[in-house]
Amino acid sequence: MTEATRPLDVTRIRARSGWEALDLRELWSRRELLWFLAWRDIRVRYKQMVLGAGWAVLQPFIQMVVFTVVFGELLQVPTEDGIPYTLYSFTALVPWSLFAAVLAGTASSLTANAGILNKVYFPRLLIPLASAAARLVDFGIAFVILLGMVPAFGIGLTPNALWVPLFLLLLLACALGVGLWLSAVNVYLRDVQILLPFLVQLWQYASPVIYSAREIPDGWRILYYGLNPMAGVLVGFRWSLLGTPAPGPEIWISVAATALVFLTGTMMFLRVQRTMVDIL
Amino acid sequence: MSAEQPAIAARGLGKRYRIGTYLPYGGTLRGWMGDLLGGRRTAAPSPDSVSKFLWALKDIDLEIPAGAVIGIVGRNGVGKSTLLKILSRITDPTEGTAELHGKVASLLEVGTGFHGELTGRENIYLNGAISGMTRAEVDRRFDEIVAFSELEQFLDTPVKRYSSGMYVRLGFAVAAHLDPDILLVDEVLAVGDLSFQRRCLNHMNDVARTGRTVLFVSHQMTAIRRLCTRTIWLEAGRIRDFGPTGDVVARYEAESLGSQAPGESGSHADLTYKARYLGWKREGAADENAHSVSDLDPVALRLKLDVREPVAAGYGGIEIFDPEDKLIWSGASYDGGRGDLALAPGTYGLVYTLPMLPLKPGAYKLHASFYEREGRRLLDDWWASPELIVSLPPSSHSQDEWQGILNLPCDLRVERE
Repeated sequence: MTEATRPLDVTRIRARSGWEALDLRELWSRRELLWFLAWRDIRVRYKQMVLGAGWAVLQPFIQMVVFTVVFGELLQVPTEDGIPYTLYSFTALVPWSLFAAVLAGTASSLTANAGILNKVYFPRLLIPLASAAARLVDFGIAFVILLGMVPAFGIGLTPNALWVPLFLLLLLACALGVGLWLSAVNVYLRDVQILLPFLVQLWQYASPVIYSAREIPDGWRILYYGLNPMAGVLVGFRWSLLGTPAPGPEIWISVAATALVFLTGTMMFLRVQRTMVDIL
Repeated sequence: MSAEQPAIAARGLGKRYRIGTYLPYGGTLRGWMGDLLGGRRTAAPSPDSVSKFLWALKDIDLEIPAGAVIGIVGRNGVGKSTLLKILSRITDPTEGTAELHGKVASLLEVGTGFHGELTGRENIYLNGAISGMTRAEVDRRFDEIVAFSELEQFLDTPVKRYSSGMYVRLGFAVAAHLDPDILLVDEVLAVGDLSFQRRCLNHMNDVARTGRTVLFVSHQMTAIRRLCTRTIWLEAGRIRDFGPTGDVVARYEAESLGSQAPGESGSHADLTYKARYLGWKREGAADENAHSVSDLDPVALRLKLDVREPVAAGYGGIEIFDPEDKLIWSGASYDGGRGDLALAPGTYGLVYTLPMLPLKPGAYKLHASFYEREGRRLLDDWWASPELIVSLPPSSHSQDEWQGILNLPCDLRVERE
């Protein structure tokens, strides 16, 4: 054998039942694979497109134009503090695009990679994590454009912008949490794949993307933020970049709801992954 | 490595599959959610639902010492792949435990995770990472991998433009440079062109000699014989036999062609088929050379065909392939205007008689198929086991490149004209 001193890894295999904790050490030991899978996603996505990464900007940009015309001009949806609707909606569209992409990518990650999952073992969680990481690249590009747009519309960036990473974290936890739930269900019921676009669409209308969270009547706030953690995320993005009113204490309801979804989603995923290849 | 600790130890491994289309719990969302959230189902399964499960693997106890190279043989669907999937952690067993000591790599498919849009170079890194190599390891062995694949000029070509042979070569090249303590290999060497297959086999041989523990599933008995010291014979999800390769493979081969052995009927009794080949032998030959040819006498190949349901009009085909997989002869039951066969249920011997088989020594593959005339429906497609062994003394030129296909002695007369 090679170095006789090297301690041998021990793999224990057994029929597992019930919930179990995530093996973070194993996940960490395969972190390189996370980057390779993310890199594959990015490479493959843009390889045969003329515009390549330009789509990362174009997608939210087109939506922004449509929203500005339809909601800003025709319907005169009010913004906060007199911020131009174009900027107001784009500030929410950039994080929302990331959310929608991570959610959809995570939900279909198991079924889309059935071929690999059936032939080789690695921590299954790497697949949704990698697809999320790949989407972050798109977000990064769009976010830089957004950062340029803010001063262009005459709004000064403040140190509040440093809070963005925290809201980003909240966004990812929420998208992954719900996505992991859906990916687990998707293994058994492929209906999820068809329902997903509707879900994302509905969720967008239920979030302060087009409109301001101010429009929500006071009595409904707790329910609104609690059921939709993205409300806190989007209000947070606008606050840190545009200087609109800060999220109220309701943000903590969003945080708690996200934590709950993320935790249960991960547990659900870990449970399904053990024998999912039998069904995939 | 401590000698007393086995590399692989399994106790009571079992895997149960649900057969038929998967509709969880009769398709009710409620039952399914109840199971996921509430742990094991408490209600006892009804007799009806029991019959919808199949134990692909049952009561597998194994102890494999470090450094052993173990073959796994058995017919299709007896649980060979399932065993490898459990040991490589792709799926959990339904019951039992196993412990593996050492870094495990599995090779259940060549080129797992290859993406057509990516180049050969990119896929080497991706496939390496998926199989458990670090980036640094791939970097270090990159040149060796490329050399093994012989694809230097195509490294920057997207894999989707590769031929299937090139694809396999690249995939195996990466797999060959994994550095595990325990290697689990499914039937992957049966792909690619012959010279590459031979190289893979040689490579596996080298791997086996370096003290690695290897579990090797194959239908190619020659490969099993060559690589493995001991062999497991799986049947209907259980270990039927485990011992020295020579003995086990001989018994396995003898039975897979012998008269419907009890074990075989047991494992297939529930399968419905119309007609199927059960085995073959050389008619009129003594038992010890029932599958070999050692002279230039007529050769009668007797294929045993089991017909379950009446076949109004059917026909069979037979082919012989040489050790390089080149088709060298084919025949059919309707050749020479013989017409179709009408067969009532029962067991038949289809005897193809050839005036002689003047072939070079080696193992020849025998392939047979059986069709129903209506709709040209394929009823069976069968690679005979054991292979046909030709042991005629070579009569041709002693130099390799002058050896032809035929192995025929010839007379020479010299006459002045």
